[in-house]
Amino acid sequence: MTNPWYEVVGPDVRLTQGDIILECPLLKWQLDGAAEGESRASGERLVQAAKGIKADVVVMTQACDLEQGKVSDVVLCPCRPLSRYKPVWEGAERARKQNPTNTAWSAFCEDIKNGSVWNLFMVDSLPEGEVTTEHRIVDFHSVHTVPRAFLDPLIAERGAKRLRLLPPDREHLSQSFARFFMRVGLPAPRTRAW
Amino acid sequence: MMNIALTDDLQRRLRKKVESGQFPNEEAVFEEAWRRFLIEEPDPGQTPMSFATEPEKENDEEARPWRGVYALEFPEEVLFTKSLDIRPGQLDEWRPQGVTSERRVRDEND
Repeated sequence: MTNPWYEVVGPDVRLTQGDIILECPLLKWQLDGAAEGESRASGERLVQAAKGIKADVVVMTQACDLEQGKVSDVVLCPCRPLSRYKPVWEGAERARKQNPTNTAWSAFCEDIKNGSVWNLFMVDSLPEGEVTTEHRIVDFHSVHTVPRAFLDPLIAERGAKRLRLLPPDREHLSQSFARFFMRVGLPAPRTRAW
Repeated sequence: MMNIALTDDLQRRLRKKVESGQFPNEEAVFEEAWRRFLIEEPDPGQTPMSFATEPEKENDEEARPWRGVYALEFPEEVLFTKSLDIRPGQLDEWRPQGVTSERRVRDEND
């Protein structure tokens, strides 16, 4: 039986939306001042550091833009395995003096699955096959771009097969990203008359 | 020691408080509930709220702070860091870069 969530594609298959790229190199600003050099900013000069990191990411750029070669940069969001997410969540719960019980973890995961956490999206696991994965959480808060001219050769050089989210879940992911981005925070809640 | 019979709804709410991690056990929930109900000064003119009719939404917001937008700080696998000295006045101005697809070029030629 084919899996409704994923297909496995080879390194020669063109990149598209929903492709999961493991340990993808990304560039970020280093803002904690730990990098070499003094961290200071002025109108004329900014001394800061950049850092390279690696992270599992999912391609968010529209499939048609990639297919038709209309973009030179690819938009990516981190998609972390659930097992890596859990200890960080537990730490956050303890920080707010809450006991990170399994029930609370289940409630958290359920809320993500149901779309109640707007910046997070859960993709299913694939326990069997050539390429496997556990459940993953996509975070729309961190958006990265990588030149396609960098990403395509990277995938080819690695020569590894990768997972690709299938429609309609791929479009559901994209729609969730759009909903998160277009949300409006209202200054005051509705008054209740019920 | 005092035995109290609770309705199913109250029992469910009691368990929920413990399961959400707000309290270590059911006794702690009771202690807090009785403290609020019997010891703390009630708001004058306000009808005391029954535990059974307490708005569930507010509890959920407290127990589930991740609802809405939730940000966690994750440890990063850093490959390198490099110091940058950026002088905005000396940077090249950004120029739009037109990207034309091969398909469109083919279509136009046809």
